[in-house]
Amino acid sequence: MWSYEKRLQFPVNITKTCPKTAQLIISQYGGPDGELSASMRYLAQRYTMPLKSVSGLLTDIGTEELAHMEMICAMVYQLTKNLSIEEAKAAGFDAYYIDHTSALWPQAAGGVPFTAKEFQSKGDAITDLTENLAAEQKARTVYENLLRMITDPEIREPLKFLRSREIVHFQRFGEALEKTKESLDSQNYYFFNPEFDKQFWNQ
Amino acid sequence: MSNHELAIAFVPPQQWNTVYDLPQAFKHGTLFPDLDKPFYITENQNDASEPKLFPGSESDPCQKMLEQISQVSFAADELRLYLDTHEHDTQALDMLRTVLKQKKALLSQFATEYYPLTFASMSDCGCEIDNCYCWSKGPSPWEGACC
Repeated sequence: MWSYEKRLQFPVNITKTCPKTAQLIISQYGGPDGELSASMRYLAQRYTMPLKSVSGLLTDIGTEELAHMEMICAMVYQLTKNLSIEEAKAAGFDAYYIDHTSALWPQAAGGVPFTAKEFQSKGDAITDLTENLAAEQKARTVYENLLRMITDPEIREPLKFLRSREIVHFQRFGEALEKTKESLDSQNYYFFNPEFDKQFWNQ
Repeated sequence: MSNHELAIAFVPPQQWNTVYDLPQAFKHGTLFPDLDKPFYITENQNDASEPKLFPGSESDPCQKMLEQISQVSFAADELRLYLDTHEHDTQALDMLRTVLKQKKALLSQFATEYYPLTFASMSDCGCEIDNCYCWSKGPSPWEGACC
């Protein structure tokens, strides 16, 4: 289970309304490489992971991603909480406004709703850890694309923090892959699937 | 070592090295200088234009304490992930124990003086005296840093 801390992992203090920026940042809530997708990916994969230490890492990174989702939602919320109809129209935020007013709803920057199709839980430790390495890189790229577009320092500070976390998580998933490899035969890592072919797994 | 096999990814495991102090670690988004890889566009800005992460923390003791809690908590988060893949690293374990003790004391003090940040620290907020449900006290985190 989880318990809640009533604070953000890193502060978000945005003082200016900007629905255009909100529409870009919302992708890290409900988009293909967003924090919701990240947390669901890791928290789904952990049950069948053959090494307990790797399950533990997935729990802890998955939990941190939930805190990142909260930061992203706080950014979108603060960018739109004082939104006027004129601002929504001028920024192209009017379509979102029609369906959600200024509430939070997970979608990509292009308006595509959040879907579980954005992540994988494949049931093979090497496959899933390789997916996670790629996922962290994709999220890093999105944060860099946001940092190219957005000049306001109030918005950039939390984005820079979140980008840094992607690099740390990549390193940890790399180490988790090494631990998994050490438990397999280096002559052929693919001889069996350690999550399914339990007769070969002697841990 | 498994780093020379074909047809599989390899990331070298991190070795314990120097660490940032807690305020620097928080600002950089990592405790480890070895993993601090900034993006060039983020480097163009001079420090003067960077906003205060906890506005008013010089004069407002509540903001100051929230800043300290955020910094020790971040160090604990970072050390947890490091220890998940380096469970026998005694230097990391020692540092984790230190920051967790600091966090526990700060959470208790914050609940006593302001409001509880965790449900467990409700027992420190003096609600038996005030007869109040202090979990509902304090701003929502997404409203921005304020006390």
